[in-house]
Amino acid sequence: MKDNFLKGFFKENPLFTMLLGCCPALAVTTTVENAIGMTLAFTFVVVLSNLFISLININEKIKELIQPVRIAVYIVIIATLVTVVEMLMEAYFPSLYSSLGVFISLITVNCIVLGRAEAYASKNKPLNSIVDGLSMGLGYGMAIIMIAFLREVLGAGSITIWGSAKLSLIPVFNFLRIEPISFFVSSPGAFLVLGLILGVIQAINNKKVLKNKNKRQSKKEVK
Amino acid sequence: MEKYLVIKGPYLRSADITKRNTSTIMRDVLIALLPSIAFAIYKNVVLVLINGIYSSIYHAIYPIITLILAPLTSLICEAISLWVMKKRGIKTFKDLVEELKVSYGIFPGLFIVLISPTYIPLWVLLVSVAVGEVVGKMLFGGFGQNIFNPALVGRAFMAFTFSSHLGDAYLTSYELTIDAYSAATPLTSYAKAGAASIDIVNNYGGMFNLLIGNYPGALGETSTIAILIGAIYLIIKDVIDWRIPVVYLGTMFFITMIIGFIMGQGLWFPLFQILTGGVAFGAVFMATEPVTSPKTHLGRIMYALLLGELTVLFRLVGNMPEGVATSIVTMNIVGLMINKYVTKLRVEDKLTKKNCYGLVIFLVFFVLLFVYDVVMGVK
Amino acid sequence: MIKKSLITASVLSIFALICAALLGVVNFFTSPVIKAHEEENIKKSISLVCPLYDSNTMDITTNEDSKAKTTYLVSSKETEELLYVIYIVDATGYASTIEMMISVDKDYKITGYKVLSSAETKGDIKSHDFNMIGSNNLDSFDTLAGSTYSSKAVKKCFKLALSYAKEEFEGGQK
Repeated sequence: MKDNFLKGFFKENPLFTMLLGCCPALAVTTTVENAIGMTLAFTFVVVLSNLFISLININEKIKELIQPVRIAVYIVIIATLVTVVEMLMEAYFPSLYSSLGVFISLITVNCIVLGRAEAYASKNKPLNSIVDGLSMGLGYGMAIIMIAFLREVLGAGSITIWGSAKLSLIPVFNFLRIEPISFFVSSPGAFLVLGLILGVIQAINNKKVLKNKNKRQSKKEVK
Repeated sequence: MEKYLVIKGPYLRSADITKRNTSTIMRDVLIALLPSIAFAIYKNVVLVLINGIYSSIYHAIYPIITLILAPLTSLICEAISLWVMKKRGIKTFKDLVEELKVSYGIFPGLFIVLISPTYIPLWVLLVSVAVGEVVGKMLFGGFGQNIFNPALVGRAFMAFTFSSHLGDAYLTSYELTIDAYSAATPLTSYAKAGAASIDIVNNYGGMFNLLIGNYPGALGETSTIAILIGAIYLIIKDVIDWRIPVVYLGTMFFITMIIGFIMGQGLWFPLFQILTGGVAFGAVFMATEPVTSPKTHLGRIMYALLLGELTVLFRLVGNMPEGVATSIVTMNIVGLMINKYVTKLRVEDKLTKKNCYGLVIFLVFFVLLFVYDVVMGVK
Repeated sequence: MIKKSLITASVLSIFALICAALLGVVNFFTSPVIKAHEEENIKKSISLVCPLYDSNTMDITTNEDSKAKTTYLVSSKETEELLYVIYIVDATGYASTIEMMISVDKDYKITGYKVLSSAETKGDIKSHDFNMIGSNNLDSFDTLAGSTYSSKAVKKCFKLALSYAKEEFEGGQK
């Protein structure tokens, strides 16, 4: 269970290791607030879709019935959940809704949600599926919040956590006699930041692989 | 069995020429840059000191400070990234120094400072140098493996990111007192003016002054004469291929001449276009960079033809006055394609039906771009 | 074979029905809130361009027949007399499309304006005073120095709003 929950953060992080869901990760990460909003909406959708889909698949008879049209069924369920999230957000968080815009509806075609449904939820028990959804949603959220944090600090000189809970770093910038680099808030900046993070993660992984290899080799030599 | 050996550029047939290697090439480039650097110091420091109009001594010698700090930053960034990435098995400090000797880390910084506005804020310059060095060069694998010219990556980053800092940074404190300059550089004046007129040239001291280079502009690229001296030295030493600068400047001259004639202007218009901005500097030092430019003669001519067209396009049609840096970075991408195609042509050694498509596509693209340039360039 | 596909189709439609029902329930609860938000937003922006706007005595309706992108009609609640017409118009500037909200009163005078969206590179056109309040022609237009194209676009917006107002309400219709 613990492994199941932790895998979404590092080992199977949807954005950093599988490069799924790049489109919202590049588009909504201009402020930390947007990224948090996206994380909440995304986690809600992926947890509930995993739950429903595993509930459907628990009964062998239904599973057989929907087998030819299962992708359509999954998409209907996911689309419904996304629309629910969209309505709720428009009603109760209008400012977040206007800044996230079309990317809420695009969660429907986000490959992570459908991917988890097909690869995990359809074969596992409801409880495990919920944990898997939580892990994926929060892992993805961690990734986009990381990108958003770097982009907002470098590009706008502030950290917006929620609404007016905003930390301005402009005094620090002024003290250093520099200015925020608006490049990072623009879309090429998003590509650069994502690329650099991926590069660092790849470098760390390579190092680990190299270490393991060396260990194995030295063991062989001992033998 | 390996038929061809793939190694990184710049290439040199050491069997033909003895006592030549990458080190001597880089030394020659540095020597060729000296006239430009000397003129930059004369124009931006000595003239200001002679005229005595400056707020502080720091402000007066600021260009010299940037000329020292930018290459230094570039070198430090190179050392740090080499150390962090552990390229080619660097283990000790001695290895690092050995590696730095053959990776020429000062060049991106030196080039960026020469093609940037003179009074650019220091942090803007240094951030751009770091981006050009790390993102443009080291992330691609270091010296000889970069796809884009690292200096121009930094310069393009500066142009798109810090555009608000660039406008006023061109003028020295002495030049600020001259009323005739309606805008910072001749090219921004032209971009601002509603119609082309020879007044622009006269405001900046006439055509001869544009040739000498005593007008506001980037630190090292105003003096066409100084750049030409460097170019002649490089061509005699066989470091650069004369085809790229000659074809590049020729294409630009030809297109702007046609545009000028359509607008009813004289020969001053094409001359103005190739004497101002970084065209000469870009053509001699940037477009000919051995790593990123094509390796065959035909490829180089194709490359330079498209470069000339793109520069005119970015200058006269785009909404930024400068176009050299952007066009060379763009052509670096196309350069890979040209290189591949021309190499294939050369290996097959004759024009068959199959391999002439590339040339046809190139010609169609060339003509279309040419017509587009002329039609859109007329104000 | 046909039976099998029929079953599949009915399974799919059952799922669709359940989901539609769920959406209907959620929509029932959220739609009044969303509508209230929208109305509030319109009122807020109208009070920006019409300084005399008062939500207690005035009504807002939209005019679907208008040539402009969106048109709001502000009329008095008691007499049902038309007081202001508010146009949302746009024009292309130097680097982006400028969208403006312009309010015109019954004498075809401009009572207020606001630049809703613009991504122009030079000059602060959102806070510049174009000297058009209380005017009914473009003579008093004050160009923003340094951004010629943006000013032209703003001028075009005013021109459009004034011409729409004159076109649509000329001849005692008002």
